[in-house]
Amino acid sequence: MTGPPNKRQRREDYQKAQQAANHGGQIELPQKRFYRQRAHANPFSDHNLTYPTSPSQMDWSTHYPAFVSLADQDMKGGQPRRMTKQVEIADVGCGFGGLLIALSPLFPDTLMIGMELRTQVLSYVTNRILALRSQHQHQPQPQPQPQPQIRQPSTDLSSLPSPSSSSSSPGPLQNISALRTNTMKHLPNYFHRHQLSHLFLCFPDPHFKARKHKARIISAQLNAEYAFVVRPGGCVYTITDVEELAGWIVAHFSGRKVDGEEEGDDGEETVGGNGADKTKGVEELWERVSEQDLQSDACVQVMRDETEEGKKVSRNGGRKFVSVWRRREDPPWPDEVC
Amino acid sequence: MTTPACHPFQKLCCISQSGDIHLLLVATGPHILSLDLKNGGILSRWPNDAVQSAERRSLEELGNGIMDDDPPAKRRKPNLSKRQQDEQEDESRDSSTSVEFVSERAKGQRRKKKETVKAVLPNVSHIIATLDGLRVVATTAEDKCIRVFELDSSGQLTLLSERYMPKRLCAIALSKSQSTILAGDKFGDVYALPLQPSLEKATALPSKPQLQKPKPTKPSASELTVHTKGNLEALRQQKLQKGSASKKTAPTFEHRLILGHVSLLTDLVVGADPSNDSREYILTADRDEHIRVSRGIPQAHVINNYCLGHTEFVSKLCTVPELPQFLISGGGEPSLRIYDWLRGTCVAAASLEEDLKRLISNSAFNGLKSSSIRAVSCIQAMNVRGADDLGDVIMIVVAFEGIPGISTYLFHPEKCILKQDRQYIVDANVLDIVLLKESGLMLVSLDNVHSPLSTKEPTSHALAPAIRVFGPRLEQFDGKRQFGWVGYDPATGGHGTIQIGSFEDIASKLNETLQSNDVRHEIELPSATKPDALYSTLGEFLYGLENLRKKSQGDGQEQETEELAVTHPEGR
Repeated sequence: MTGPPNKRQRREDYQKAQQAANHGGQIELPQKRFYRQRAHANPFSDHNLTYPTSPSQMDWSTHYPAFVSLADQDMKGGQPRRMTKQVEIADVGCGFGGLLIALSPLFPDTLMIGMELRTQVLSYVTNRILALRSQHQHQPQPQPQPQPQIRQPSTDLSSLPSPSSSSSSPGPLQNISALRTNTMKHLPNYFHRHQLSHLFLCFPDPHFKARKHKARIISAQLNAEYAFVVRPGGCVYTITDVEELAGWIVAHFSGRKVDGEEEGDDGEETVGGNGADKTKGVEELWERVSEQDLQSDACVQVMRDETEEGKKVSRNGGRKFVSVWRRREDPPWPDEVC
Repeated sequence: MTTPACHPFQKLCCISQSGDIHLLLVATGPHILSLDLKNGGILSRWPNDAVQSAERRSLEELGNGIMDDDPPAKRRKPNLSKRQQDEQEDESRDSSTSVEFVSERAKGQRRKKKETVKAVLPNVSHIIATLDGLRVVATTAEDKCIRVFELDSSGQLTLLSERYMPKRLCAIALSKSQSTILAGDKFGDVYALPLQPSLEKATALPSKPQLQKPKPTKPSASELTVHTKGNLEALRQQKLQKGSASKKTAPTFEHRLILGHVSLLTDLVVGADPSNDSREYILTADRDEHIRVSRGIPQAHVINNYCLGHTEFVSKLCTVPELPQFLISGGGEPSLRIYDWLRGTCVAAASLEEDLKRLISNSAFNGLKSSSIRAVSCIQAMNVRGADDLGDVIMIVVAFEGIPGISTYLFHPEKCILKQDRQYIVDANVLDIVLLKESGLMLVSLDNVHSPLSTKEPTSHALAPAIRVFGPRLEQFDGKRQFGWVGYDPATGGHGTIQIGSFEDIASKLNETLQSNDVRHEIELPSATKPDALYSTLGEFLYGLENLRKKSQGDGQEQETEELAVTHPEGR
């Protein structure tokens, strides 16, 4: 067995070389082959993650140095620095970051965060974003100083002069970033109530085995949590190439079992309902966005064609199943109705 | 005394019924005892000997006959209801017609030979009662069962229903209407069950839910979604396989999954909206430091807010009916936090590390480093009136896991000040505490099998299971008259002076009752297990909070590198 040690060796060599080269100026785009990691991560294990205790403790300034509030340049009392904008778009399981990079020019003034559990993949995305940022800075409007930092999302990038300090519109790709976390557990640690306008769940791990279904990123239980962070009118975007999972997604957002999936098939149930029960479950918080509305939504196009998985599915001739769910207003309390 | 070891009283529950009836329910191993709090006498014991022997018999039958559905590692359900037994028999009869099932059964039998089926009754893990004290809900650990009892004025417990849940239960509460049981399990899910199981619902559902339709299962993957050689081969095999009926049976009684955490649920309480009487909320705490505030049923999927700020698992939640806007939470740091839970703001917080250290050093037992960290294992609180200068305050009583002492705190709701009050040392680890609102008594159950400060070493001298009684008094403290407790010492039969009422009487009678043989559930003394284990086998059941602690940085690193090493070969 010569595989793994060699691989790690090559990876380390590559990282060293990258770091050395970066001190020379422009950051090179990372090569994906040095960042491969198996496609699955167990969402139930602890993973040695660091995460803020609450959304107000989250320091976004290292992620978006161009959006740090100028009035608040100094750290004070351990409180994170204030930002001019809040993150409004989250890509859960961002993978290699294709979606973020494609969305960035569509919403240049909206902050977007990619959330990924796999360390290697995450460092690829952060390196990729940093490289792209530096390339953009070098090409059209040269900046006085390049950003030498790489691969350390925790270090304080914002000590560098931010490109936005002169103009009102920050440079391209300043509005995207990625961090390592387990969203199934820690979504409320990052976002306030109703903070997000878009939440993307692109090509999630299908967890084919029935006894692994609890590990799926879409479930009645988690849909309630998405409803907490997504504002009324905001949308959850889902896409998958697995037909069964597409049915599962629809079933769990709409509360209706779709064809082929029988009730109680594997002891599954939706929140708030077994079957014809009159009380509504989490589905009362979501409505499906119509096919017509999807036609005009640029996000759907990007999700289909720009994500790495989307491209791979196209290459292999697979099908893509899209469903987008709009957050309804919270239902009135029972005592408000009567 | 050379008494054999007895199971300690792991849970206490105080009940007041109308007509001035005050009862104490005590769980010892698989038994629930009811005691009269007026004279300390024992009123009933469940399961009583008749029930027990019948169960033993049925267990033996089960052991010889029908196979078990559970995975091999888990203990079997020791006392299946008659109904379920019938179902199982049906199942095995049915199965003889199907090829797959015959093979399944053979597997099960092979399994049985290896496994020694122990006739162990499931241990009671939680007891709660309705406000009127007429119904008691108890959960058992090993068989994941929720049992509802009727409690009459003579203290007799009559079993009304048994419901077996899919996963082990971690927390249980009753809705404000007292008609719905909320049960949170190890997988983070919370179910709502009617207190009184509706009969027509149970019969309307098919008794053998999935068995009648062994439909061909279609693999959800296809050639378009899996690409590697290995996966394609696995898919081909799956397609060749004939469909088999799902063996898993969903519970047949009415139950609704109302919310879920992707984490182990640690505690659950129902909160009342102080500004709107008709609204209630469900407050759930998990191992990942969250406290979630959801609307009450039927809208538990609407999350109102989170109460964040703990840096270790949240172990206990507590509310006080007189001041419903406050939530007291304790965690593994150890710390105590007080939230204005409807707003999600923490109004007071205290690290309990120093208090824990003091408790350990004051307890006069050796064997624990003063740097040891223990989690908050029990929080009880009550509104205290009449203390001199503070007006209404919340008295908070805190116990730590495996610590022979209690620390109390006072929270002043108007000024939002939380301060440490006093510490009470007892002679064995504290397992559970109840406060009796009317009389101000505090009852503390003690661990008689483990040595003080330890959750795995057996005691050097076997003690009878014990409940220590503390009586209330107003005393001079810091130059002010304040509320406090004074302990009854069973050895001397006294304690000093008492200013509010007299409690020695009840304390000595209770003590006498608990010494008698008929309350005891005999067990083997826990033998010291592996040197690096945190708990003895019994300790795992009685304590177990340390298992919730996340692994240290070092372990995480290892896992990280492991992940790296098994990177997918794809893409090379």
